Amino acid sequence: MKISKRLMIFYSILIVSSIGIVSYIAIYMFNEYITKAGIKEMNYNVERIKIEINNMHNRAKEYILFALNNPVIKEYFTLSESSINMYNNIKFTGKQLELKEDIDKWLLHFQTYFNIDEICLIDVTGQEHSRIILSKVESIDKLSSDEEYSSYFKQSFEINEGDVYIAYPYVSPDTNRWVFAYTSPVVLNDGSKPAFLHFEIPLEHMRNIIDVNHGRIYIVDLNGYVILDSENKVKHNNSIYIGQKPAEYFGTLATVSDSREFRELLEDTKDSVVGENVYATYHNDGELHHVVYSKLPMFDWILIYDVPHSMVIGDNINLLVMSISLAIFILTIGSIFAVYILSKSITNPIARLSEECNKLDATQLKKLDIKSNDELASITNSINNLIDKVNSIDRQKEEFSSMITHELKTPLTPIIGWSQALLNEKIMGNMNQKQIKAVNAILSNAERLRRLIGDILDAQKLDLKSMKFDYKEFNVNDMMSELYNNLLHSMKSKNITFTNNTDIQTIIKSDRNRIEQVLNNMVFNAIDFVPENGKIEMAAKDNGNDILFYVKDNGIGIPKDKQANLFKKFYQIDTSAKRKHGGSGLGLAICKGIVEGLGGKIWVESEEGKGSTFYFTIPKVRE
Amino acid sequence: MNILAIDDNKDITDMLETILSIEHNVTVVNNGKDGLRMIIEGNYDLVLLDLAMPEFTGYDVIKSLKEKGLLNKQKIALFTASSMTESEIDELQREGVKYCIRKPVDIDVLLTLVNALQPYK
Repeated sequence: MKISKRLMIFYSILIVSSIGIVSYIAIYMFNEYITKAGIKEMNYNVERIKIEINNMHNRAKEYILFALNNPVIKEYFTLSESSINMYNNIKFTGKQLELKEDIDKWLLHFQTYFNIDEICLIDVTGQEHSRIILSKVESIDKLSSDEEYSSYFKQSFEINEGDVYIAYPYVSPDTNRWVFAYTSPVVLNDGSKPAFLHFEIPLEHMRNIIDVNHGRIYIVDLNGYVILDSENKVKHNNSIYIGQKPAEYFGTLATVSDSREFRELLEDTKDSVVGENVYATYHNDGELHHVVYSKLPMFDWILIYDVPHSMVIGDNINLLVMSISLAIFILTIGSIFAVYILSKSITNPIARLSEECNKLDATQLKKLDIKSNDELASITNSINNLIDKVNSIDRQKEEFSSMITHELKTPLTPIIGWSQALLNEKIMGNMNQKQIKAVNAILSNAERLRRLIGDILDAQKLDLKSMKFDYKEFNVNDMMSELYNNLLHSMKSKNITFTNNTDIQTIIKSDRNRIEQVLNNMVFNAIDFVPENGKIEMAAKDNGNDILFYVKDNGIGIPKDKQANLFKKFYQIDTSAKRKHGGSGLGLAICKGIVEGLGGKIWVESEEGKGSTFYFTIPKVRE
Repeated sequence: MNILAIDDNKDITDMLETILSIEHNVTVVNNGKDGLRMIIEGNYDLVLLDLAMPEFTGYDVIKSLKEKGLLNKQKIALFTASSMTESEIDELQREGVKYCIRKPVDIDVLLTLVNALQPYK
């Protein structure tokens, strides 16, 4: 994998994971914070509701005491008892009627002003003396014996002047609603309590108090019946009747949740202390619910404030998640871009260096020219040092080979020169046949040495790719004819039949000397390997874009498995052949180098015992 | 034709003398210093100059002739076994050394080349 890719992946994972962790922590902390704030708000709401319920009761107490403060009421009951027929038919005296009208008016006014359901003045016998229901003066009646002996009735007389008794809610016989009833006695100057004033406030009034924005508030009695539910969802009995018991009307909290945690929580509420807020949680349908509950001072009722976690968090968390998501998105894109730039800044110089190195020409290693002042400079330096070393090695090789060839050629000069001079009658006079034979042997071996030296030099040049080609136009047929004539005398010793089957007049642009060198080499190889009276054929054919040359012999042939190695340096088929046909072992390697250098191909087709054909192609024009 | 052959190898100068003296007037010398002196003092139609000689090389001879302004007046053919680089050949040709016979040489070739360099009379 590329470095840039690795960097990208590494840093992307790093950045995305760190952003993820930070976001997780942020959301977690935010959640904690919001939850705490939510619980605080719940506590505050519970406190507020408690105060408001308390205020409601206190207001009612104040109203009733205020109503009783009217002296007309005391005056009315101070009138002689005889004046009033306490039984069945009440016969008011004129004064009493007058006062009753005053009382009715006062109480009606009072009721209207304070918006009270029912207000009623009742004497010790259970006889009503004034009754106002929903802003209307109603006819007075006597309480039923049930009511007369109810604890409420008794309690109402037991409390002192200025005190108010609040009865446990019941169904009002007049309004047929569940009500709170407040009562306080009329106390005369002699301390007697001839009557009490009573009024009712419907339970429903409390619903306004327990209204909250989030979550749900219940007021539950000690038996687990829901007296009030802010959402009014707890099922209760649809019919209301006088004397109905709470258990017969109110629903239970079991309908809210039947989870074990919730039931345990309800059990705990019973043990709580009045006025103290308790925080608890439970799970319902997998969601966390926060609960703050408190025992109310009245009737041991318990106020329960229940808010699901999602409501505590509310829209805030969605907003936060959204903004964090957006931030993550922007940061991720931004950082990946930054990483891209960064990785490019690291890998670009590497890519540039590799590009520069690829451009290097192996035959002419030039120093890299990359201007930089970072790590790239030191790599460039190292490569340049290496190039220096390679160049100096190449120089040494070239110097060595030129020195060697010079040293070899120098002694060859007089050997060849003197031998040829000896054979020249004009220069040295006549020799006998034995002498001529000896000098010929010296000369032919000296020639072989000269060829070998030439081969080594060529191989060296091909190796260093320093061979220069001289491209000129020439006629292929001319070259082949001249070559044929030059080679003809070499065939005499083995009496070889040598033919040139070239019949094209194509003019090509290539290096004639080098092509001749290749053909020469192939023909001399063939001479080495054909038997006495053998055959050698050479030809050039027009092959479209290039010329196909071949040299064919009927020599010993080359085994299939040896053919592939034939064009390698210093490769000879076997040691016995080497002895018999002493070559430099460089000839075909040089041929291959030259042919390929000129843009052609070289190959051999051969069958053991039947002969070999060496082929090569040369492009007519080198692009 | 008056030919001066300068080569530190006596076998080579002897050979050149033997071969060329059939048709030409040949003088041989075996070191560069003497060769230079003889070029300056004498009057040669052709100088065969070896390059790789101890102490005073063929290059030194060419350099000295150039300094004395004699290089353009003297026909010189290098007679060398050195494989020169393209730039060296270019350099020598620019300075007026236009001929080069490579060692080892066939005597037929040598005779042909020397005759080819003969001034028309």
